[in-house]
This record gives sequence, structure tokens and C-alpha cells, in this order.
Amino acid sequence: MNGIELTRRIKLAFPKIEIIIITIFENSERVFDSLSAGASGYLTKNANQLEVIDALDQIVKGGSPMSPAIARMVVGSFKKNNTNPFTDKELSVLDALVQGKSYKSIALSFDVSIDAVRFHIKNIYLKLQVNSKEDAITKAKKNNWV
Amino acid sequence: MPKKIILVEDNVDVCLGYKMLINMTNEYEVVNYYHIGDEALKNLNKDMPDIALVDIDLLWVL
Repeated sequence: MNGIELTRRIKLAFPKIEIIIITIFENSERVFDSLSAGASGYLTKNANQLEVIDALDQIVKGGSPMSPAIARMVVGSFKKNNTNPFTDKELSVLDALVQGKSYKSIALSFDVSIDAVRFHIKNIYLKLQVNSKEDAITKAKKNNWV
Repeated sequence: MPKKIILVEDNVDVCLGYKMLINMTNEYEVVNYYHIGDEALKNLNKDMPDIALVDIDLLWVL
């Protein structure tokens, strides 16, 4: 298994173990993925003794050693984009689509007809200028709308 | 009591380098190190580390 998978498994078995990722490349999607998998921070392979000990000290104090660039990626992942073109209902339907719900289950959970769901989805596709559910989900995620 | 650390790193030089750096302190102690993730996972119960240093690029071993 690679380090990201190992991180996930360690945290699953022993959530209290703190994990620091060792990486060659500092600002990569993979470092972000490892943080998402449960790592608390990371160190680069060429870190000197001070940096290694400083990272350990930060972890013990409850901190997360990471560069500002990675911290920005983490913050960005939590921040949903509020400047979306959708109505509240469309946004709820889009959210449900992302969760993999069927038209029927969306209709049931919002207590509306399947035709009403289709109507909202048609408007969502128009606003996103897409023709498929997959493209709608991809575009909505890319813009942090869901 | 120093905090217990395990290293999981398939590059032997990096692994030993980190071990040496960490064991020079009074606050931290490397209790074990592994070059394969599965081995580290199997021994977590025994090692009971406070912190695991994990190489992101560990090789996949089936």
C-alpha cells in the first residue's frame, strides 16, 4: 500500500496515532490527499533536524505542520462558493445528484413529482451548459457549488 | 517519557537519517521502523506509537 492508503488504515485502526507524511514534493495534490486521509501534517525528505523536531513539536501541541500553499488548499476545500447561479431548490437537487440519488428518490425526499425534479435538472443543465448528469456534477464540484 | 515514533519509509537512507535525528532528542524516540506499510500496520498493536512518520510514495506490496 502507498502512504495515503496506510494513513487511512492507521487512522481507522488507531485514530489517536498522529501521522506525519514524508514527501519529496511539497505542494502537490497528493499531499492534500494524504491530509484528507487523516495525516496531521507533512515533512519534506530534505528537512533538517530543526525542521523535523519542529514538526514533531507542532504535532504534540495539536498543530499541523504544513506550508501556506497546502494550508490554502485545505481551506479552499472547506469553503463552498456562494456565488452560484442556482435557486435553493436547484442547489438541493444538485446536491442530491452529487450524492448519487436517483430522480425517484430525489422526488420522494423533496416531496415533489418526478417531473418537477426533471424540470429542475433541465434548468441546472441549462445554467451549467452541460448535457449529462456526470458533466453537471463535475462542473458543480469544480466550482465548489456543492 | 519520550513520545514513541515509528517510521515507515522505503528509502533506507532517509529512514536511518530520520531515526538518527529523532533519537538525538530527549523528547522523541523511534521505537521501530519499516520499509513496507503492511508490516507497520501489523505491528501497531505492539509498537503503540504516538506518532507515525509515513512516506507518501511507499511502494505497493501485494
